[in-house]
Amino acid sequence: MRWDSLIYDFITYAIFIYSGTQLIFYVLIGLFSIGATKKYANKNSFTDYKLLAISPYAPSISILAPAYNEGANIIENVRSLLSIYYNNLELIVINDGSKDNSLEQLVVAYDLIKIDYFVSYQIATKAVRGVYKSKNPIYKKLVVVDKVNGGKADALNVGVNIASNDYIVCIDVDCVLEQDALLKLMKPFLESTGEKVIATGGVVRIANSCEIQHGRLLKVNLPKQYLPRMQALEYIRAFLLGRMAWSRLNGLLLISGAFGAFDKELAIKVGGYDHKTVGEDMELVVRMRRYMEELKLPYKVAFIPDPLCWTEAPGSYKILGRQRNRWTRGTIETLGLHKKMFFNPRYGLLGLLSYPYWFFFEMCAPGVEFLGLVAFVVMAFFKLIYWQTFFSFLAFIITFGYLYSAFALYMEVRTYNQYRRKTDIMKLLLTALTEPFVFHPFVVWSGVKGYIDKLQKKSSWGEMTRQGLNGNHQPVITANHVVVKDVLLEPQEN
Amino acid sequence: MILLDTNFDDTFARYVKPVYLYSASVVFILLTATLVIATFNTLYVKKKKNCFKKSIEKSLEDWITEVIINESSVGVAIPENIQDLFKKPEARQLVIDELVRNKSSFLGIVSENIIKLYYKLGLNVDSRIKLDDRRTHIQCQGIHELGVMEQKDQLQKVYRFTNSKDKDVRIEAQTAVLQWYGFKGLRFLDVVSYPITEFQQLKLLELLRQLPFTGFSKLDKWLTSSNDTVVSFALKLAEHYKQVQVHKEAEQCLQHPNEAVRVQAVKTLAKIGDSKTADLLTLAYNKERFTNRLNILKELPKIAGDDQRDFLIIQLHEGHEYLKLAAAKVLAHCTAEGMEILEAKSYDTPIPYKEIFLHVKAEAAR
Repeated sequence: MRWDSLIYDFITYAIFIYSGTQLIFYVLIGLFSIGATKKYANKNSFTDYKLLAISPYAPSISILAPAYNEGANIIENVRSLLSIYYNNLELIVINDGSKDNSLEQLVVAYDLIKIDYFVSYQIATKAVRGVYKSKNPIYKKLVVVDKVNGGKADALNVGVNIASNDYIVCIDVDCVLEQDALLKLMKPFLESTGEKVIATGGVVRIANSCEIQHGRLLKVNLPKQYLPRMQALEYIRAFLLGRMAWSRLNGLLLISGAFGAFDKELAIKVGGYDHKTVGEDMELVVRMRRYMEELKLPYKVAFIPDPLCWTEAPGSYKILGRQRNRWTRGTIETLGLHKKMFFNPRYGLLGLLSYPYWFFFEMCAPGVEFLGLVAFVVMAFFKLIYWQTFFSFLAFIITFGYLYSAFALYMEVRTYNQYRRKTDIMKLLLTALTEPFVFHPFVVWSGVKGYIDKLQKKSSWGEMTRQGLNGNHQPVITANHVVVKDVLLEPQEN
Repeated sequence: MILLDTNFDDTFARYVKPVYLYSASVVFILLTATLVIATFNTLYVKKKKNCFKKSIEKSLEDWITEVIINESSVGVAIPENIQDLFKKPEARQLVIDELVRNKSSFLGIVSENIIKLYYKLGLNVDSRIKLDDRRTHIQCQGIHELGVMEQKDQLQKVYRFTNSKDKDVRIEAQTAVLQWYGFKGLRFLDVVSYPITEFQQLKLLELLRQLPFTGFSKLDKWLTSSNDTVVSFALKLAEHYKQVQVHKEAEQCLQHPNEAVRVQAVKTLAKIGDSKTADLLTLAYNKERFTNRLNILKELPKIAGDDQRDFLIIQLHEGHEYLKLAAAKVLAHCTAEGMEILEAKSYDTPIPYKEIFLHVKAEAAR
């Protein structure tokens, strides 16, 4: 056998096996998500969520909302969070050393005074400069914490230390919540019987082009710009199919940082958010799960297919690239920290399926795809490509991608049907057609840049911009701490 | 066929022939096309259903308003246009949904008239049929409808479901029985062997809250049930309705192996306790882990006094900072000179007691 033929075979078989396995996973995810979503819809068709809001027996919740240089919208955002209808609630806004006048604005708007407050540093954090409460009883649920800048994870940890309630709900301060989002998020904690629910998350949707007023979603619109529209489709696939299926298997590794609820006691026990990683939301879930697995305690991470939270997606390639770069690094860091679980039967499904899936098909995917492309170019140069095979393989992969997107859209229309106009669905389908040629290569390239940045131990973000959910351009923020999607892009202290 | 290099041997293509992959691609395209058609069809059907629903709602609106206005009317006439609707099963379901929704919003004669209407239209038969469906969500729907529409004649059938192995069916059946018989409906607690979730407990408590209290027949028995969730629920009932007569049974729950029960027992005893309860809780304190220790300290302000001062001073020195703060709050709130003790401690050992003292002082001032 010729050497070039050997190389060709090796690469072709390797890529074929990798792709085939991934495709099988996608098929299984699709199938599993059908059952899980259907079951959820049937079960909750006549649930009266209002019960939870008014009952004195409902669990007590502390909402943690970290804010950095959010001065432009902080008053409105806090007002929106204060309007959440729930009896047993406190809202903790953590001003993470903002350089703007966020704190001063809050003090004036909500009649705040600095109070003597004992902060127990159960989780080590940067220093708290002051705790503020309102003189006005209308705002008695509000606690504002001013602290030295330390990034989102550090701010959330301060919130965990201050929180006086049993459950913590972490939220990006600029997210727009559905009316009963909190109630839906909390219900799984009250429904568990044998196994302890340690965290819950819900579907995050793209808010670009939607009509939003005073922190309330008035009308859902499909994003007008290409990139947010593409991400709208991507989110439908990821949340409605991927996370629902993993949740059914109890193998979910990620609760979105934009909106998720956690058992406070457990979050403290495992040491809170890790401020050394840029993927702190995923890392906390993995650590909590690992803790429960090691103690052999029955547990569950629940996921709700209802759209609960609307957030702004990056509208430019520059910001999208930074976001995906960060996601890749966050995944590498999280999986690296918990490499002990890799194919380790001690961790059950978590070690044998969830972790390996994330390793091979989330973390390695950009690398494999990029190397595949490089190999293709080299082999084409040396005339080692069997073009018939190449084109058939390409067609196979691309058409499968279309099928998966079409299935996700079908599921969306069958279930929550947020985009009700035929033209919206048509636009999403057309957007899906462009994905393999425009969006996907860019995401792969951003992931590869994430590898490179990780190897170079880079972790800074630089300038980020946000368009704002009301369509107004927000000022350029030279932050080391800016919300872009479901995550806060963190400052790196180097 | 090799296009560029005729000497090149593609073994891959021998096993995974391009024709297979092209064929699979064609299948994928066909499936995609099918899904796209199905998607648009679903959109169309949903839109049509929505219009249909709106038209029914509109038809029913006037009729139901008439029922509401004619509060004294004994019978209700069925307009012809609505009678026509009943030929379609989906229309019947929409009418049921509409009546169920309206029933929940009204009381008195109007509510009775809605039930009569439901009966007269034979919709109770539709709901009853659902009980025999093998799909549990349909069963749930049937029980829910019968429950709201006060179809008590279905008790025998529905009562069986209160201990169904399916959680959702069980929940709806328990709710229906309570809707029909109020406090007496709680008798399913005598036999239920499956867990009653926290959410269901909350739902049942909320339902009961809307009814005049008529007492519990077997609260003491429920507090010693082998089903932990029944014990927990009974403790909540004892707490909410201040059932001091089950004080002893509630005290025994402090020794329960299930932590959730012990946590609730502390809350209940803080409400129905006597002069010895505070001592009892402080005794239980040392056997508990962090969660219930904090819970005890949070509940103590309702019942503690000077007798607990020594215990509280010990807690001020030992354990977790959260517990120190909680103990300091009780000390300041419930004992004479508690604040002075804290102040002295803050001079003695400023870290962490100065901040704790200032925190408690500020809270007391608010």
